[in-house]
Amino acid sequence: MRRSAYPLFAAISLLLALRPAVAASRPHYGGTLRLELSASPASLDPAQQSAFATSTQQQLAVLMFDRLVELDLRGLPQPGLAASWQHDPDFRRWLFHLRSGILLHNGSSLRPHLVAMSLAASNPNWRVRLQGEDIVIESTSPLPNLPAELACARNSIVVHTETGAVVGTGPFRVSSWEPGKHLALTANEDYWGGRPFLDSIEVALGRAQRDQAIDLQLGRTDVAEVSPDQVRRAQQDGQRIAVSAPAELIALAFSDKPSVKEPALREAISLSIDRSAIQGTLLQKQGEAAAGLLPQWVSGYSFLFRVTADVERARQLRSDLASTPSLTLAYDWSDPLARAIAERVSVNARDIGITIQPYGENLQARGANADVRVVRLPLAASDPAVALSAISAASGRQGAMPADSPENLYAADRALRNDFRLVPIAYVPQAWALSTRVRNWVTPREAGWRLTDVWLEEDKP
Amino acid sequence: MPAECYNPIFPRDLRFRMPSRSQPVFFFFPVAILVALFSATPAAAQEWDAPARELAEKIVAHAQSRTALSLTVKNISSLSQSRVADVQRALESELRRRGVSLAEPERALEQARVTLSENTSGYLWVAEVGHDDSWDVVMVQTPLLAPVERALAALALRRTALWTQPEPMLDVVPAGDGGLLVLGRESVWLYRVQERKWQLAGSAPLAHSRPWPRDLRGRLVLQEDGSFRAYLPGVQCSGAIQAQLSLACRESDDPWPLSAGVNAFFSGRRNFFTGVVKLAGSSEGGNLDPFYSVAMFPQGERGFWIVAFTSGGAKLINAQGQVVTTFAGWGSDLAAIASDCGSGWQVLATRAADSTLPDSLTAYEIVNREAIEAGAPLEFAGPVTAMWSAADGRNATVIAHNLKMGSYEAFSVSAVCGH
Repeated sequence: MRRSAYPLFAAISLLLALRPAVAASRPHYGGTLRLELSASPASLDPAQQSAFATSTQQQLAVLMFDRLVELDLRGLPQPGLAASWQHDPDFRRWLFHLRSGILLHNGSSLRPHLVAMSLAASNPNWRVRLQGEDIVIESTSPLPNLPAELACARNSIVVHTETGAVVGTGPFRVSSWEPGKHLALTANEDYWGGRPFLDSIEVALGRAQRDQAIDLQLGRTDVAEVSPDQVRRAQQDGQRIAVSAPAELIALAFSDKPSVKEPALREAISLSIDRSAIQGTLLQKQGEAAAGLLPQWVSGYSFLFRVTADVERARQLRSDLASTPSLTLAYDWSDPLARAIAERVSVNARDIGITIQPYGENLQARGANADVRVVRLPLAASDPAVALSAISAASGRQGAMPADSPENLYAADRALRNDFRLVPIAYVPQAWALSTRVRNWVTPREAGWRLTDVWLEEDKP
Repeated sequence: MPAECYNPIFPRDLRFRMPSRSQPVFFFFPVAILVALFSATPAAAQEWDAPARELAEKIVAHAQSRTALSLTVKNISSLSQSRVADVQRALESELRRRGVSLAEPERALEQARVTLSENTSGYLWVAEVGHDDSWDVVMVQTPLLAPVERALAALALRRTALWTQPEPMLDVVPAGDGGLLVLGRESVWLYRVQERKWQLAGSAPLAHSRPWPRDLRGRLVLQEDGSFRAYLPGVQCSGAIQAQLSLACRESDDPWPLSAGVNAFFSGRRNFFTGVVKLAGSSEGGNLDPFYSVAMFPQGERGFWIVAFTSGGAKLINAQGQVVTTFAGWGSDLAAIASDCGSGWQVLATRAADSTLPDSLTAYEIVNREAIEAGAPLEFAGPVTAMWSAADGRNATVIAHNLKMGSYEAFSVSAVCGH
C-alpha cells in the first residue's frame, strides 16, 4: 500500500477539476446567504423591540447577540456565554460562570459587568450583580426555569458603546445597517462556538411576501417567508419548504378604551369566534385552532380548551349588556393573513349582534388606536412556563408562571384569559421557501432559524 | 437533565442507563438487541406503574365516590396502541387497588376521562374527573420512552455499540488496559470498569488558544507503548495512561495519520484536510485538492484511494494518480475496512445528506472501477459526525448524533459475511 499508492500525488491535482457529482454531507465554508423578510425593524437592539415583536425580529437578534444559555433542538438548556451555572435549593439565587476570552465585535473583551448591566436592563425585577467574575441573579420569587428564560432573545447580551451603537458577541457581526431596509452581516471569525460556515448574510427588510416569492423564483434570494395559508400550495408547486411546529399565536388584543371595558363584551366576542373554521379554511389546515395561550405540543393540555364557537352563550352575554358599541379592529396592513382573520372575526361578531369594523394600519410603526388589534405573539421558548410568562408580559402583566406542576400551569393559563383582554385564535407555524443551494437548514420546533450551521452548495452550471 | 427525560423499557438490571454528564455508559449492542427483543413488553408495562399510581391517586382524590366510576382512555400522544393498552391496564389496576368500582360509562355515576397527551417535557396524562358540567382536571407528567433500536438482521454490516454520552464525541478508542478513551470537544475522558460498572477514571482538558472550528473533527491514535495522541485542528496532544490520565497539548500543524505510514495535513480553522499528504518519517509528499476523508485499498501490488473532496463527490484514484471514476450519492466520510467477504476490502460511505437528517452507512465493493453495494445500508438515528478506520483495519469507529435522544453514540462497524 505504502509503496504503490504514494507516487501518484504529483499528477493528481491536475486531474481533479471535475464538477461535483453530488453534494458532500460535511459543511462547506463560504458564500453569502440572501434572506428577505417582511418585517422592517427600526432597531437591532433587542431591548427596543416592541412587546409584539415578531419571531423574525427575535431571530435577527440571535445572529448578532449571544445569550448566557442556549436551547438545543430538544429545547434543553445548554451553555452559551455561561459555561456553567448553579442555584440554591429554592431557585431564588443563581450563579453563572462565564466563558473566558469572549470578544465583542468591536474587539474589546466582554467583561462580566457588561453582562450584568445588559441583563439588569432587560429584567428590572431581578437583582443582577457580580461575584468575582461570575454573575449572580437573585429574585424574590423562585425562578426554576431561569436557564430557559435566559435563552430567550430578549435576554441577549447587548453592550451599548459610548457612541450609542450596540455590539454583541454573536456568530455574525454587522457590516452595514439601514434601519427597516437592509442588514448585512459577516461571519465572526473568532466566534467562541466556531466560525459560521457562511461568509456573510444579506437581509432585505420590508419585502412583501409576494415580492419575496418572485425573487426566489428569479434566484435573487435564497430564503423567502411563506404565509401559513400558502404552505400547501407552495409544496404542491414543488418548492422546498421548511415548516416549524405551530409557534406563533394569532390573537385579539383588547385595548384599555372604555368602549371595550366590559368583560362580558369581550367574552361574547371570544365565544363567537369559530376557530376551527378559521384553521380549516383561512389557514388551510396549517397550525392549530387555539383557545389557550400555548400550542398543544408545548402544553400537552391545550386540547382541553374549546375551539368551536358557542353562539348561544355569546348571544346571551351580548343581550345582557346595557349597550353594544360599534368597535374598530386593527390589523397590520402588510399581513394578508391578519386581514383575513380580522374580517372573519367581524363576520362572527355580527352573527351575535356586535359590529366590528376591521381596518389595516402600520402597527409596527405607529401602534394602533383601535378598540381591538390582531396581534402575532411568537413563542418565546419551548418551555411552557417560560413561554407563558413571555405572553403574560407581552400583554402587560408581569410575574413568573408556576413551573412546579402541569396542573398549576394549566390554571395559570386559564387565569391569564379570565379577563378576555387577550383572546387566542390560532397557533400558526413559521414557514420558509428555500433555494436549492441552501444546506443544513434547521427549523427548530419553536420556529426561527439556526443560520450558524447553514452552508451553501456551490452553484452548478 | 436528559437523564431524567429517559424512561427505559428494559428490566432494571439489564437496561441501558442513559448517561448523565458526569457518567457516560458503555454497553454492547448484541446485548442491547437481545434485551430489546425479549424483554420489551413486560418491562414497558412495569414502567407505567409509577405514573399510573400517581394519576389514580389524583383521580380518587377528586372523585365524589368510589362506586361506579367509568374510565376511558384516549391517546393523542406518540404512544403505540399496545402501550396505551398497558397504561389502561395499569390505571384500572391502581384504581381497583384503591377500592374504586369501575363501571361502564352508561351505568357510571362519575367519569374519569383520561387523555394520554404529550408536551416538550414528555408524556402528559390528563384526567377529567366529574360529571355533567362539573369537572376537575388532574395531570401527571412522565418522561418519554427511548426509541427501541431497530433490530437489524441479515446485514453485511455489523455494529457494536461502544459508548453513548450527551456531549459531542470526536473519536473513541480502546485504551489497551481494558479502558476506553473518549475524545470530546474540550476534554479527553478515560473510563474503566470498576465494581462491574463503567466509571470515569480520569479526564484531561484539551488546551487550545483559538476557538475550535464549527464542524470540529479530531482523532485519537493509540501508540504501541500504551500512550496516545489526540489530533485536533491546529492542536496536537500527547497523553499517557498510567495511574492517572495525563495530557499535554501544543499548537501544531503537524500532519494527522490517515493510515499506516501515510499522514495528511489538516486545516487549522476548518473541517478538512488541506490536500498535502506525506509519508510518515519521510520528506516525500504530494498534493491533492482539499478533502474530508480517504479510504485506502491495497489491491495486489497496486493500491488505490477513494477520496471525498470538499468540492463534492467521492473519486477513485488509481496508482498512476488518475481519477478513474466518480461515485454519485456518497457522503463525505469514508473508511476502508478489511473483512473475510468478497475481495477482502470494502469501503464504507456515509450518505450525501444534511446533518439535520438520519444517516446511513453503505459498504461497497470496488469491482472493475465500479462501486457495487454490498448488503443493505446500516441506518443510524442521526447524522454520522465522524468515521475513522480503526487500527486493526477490520473495523471503523463511527460516531452518530442521535437526533431523537440528542446523545452521541459511538459504534464499531465491521463487515460480516453469510448473513
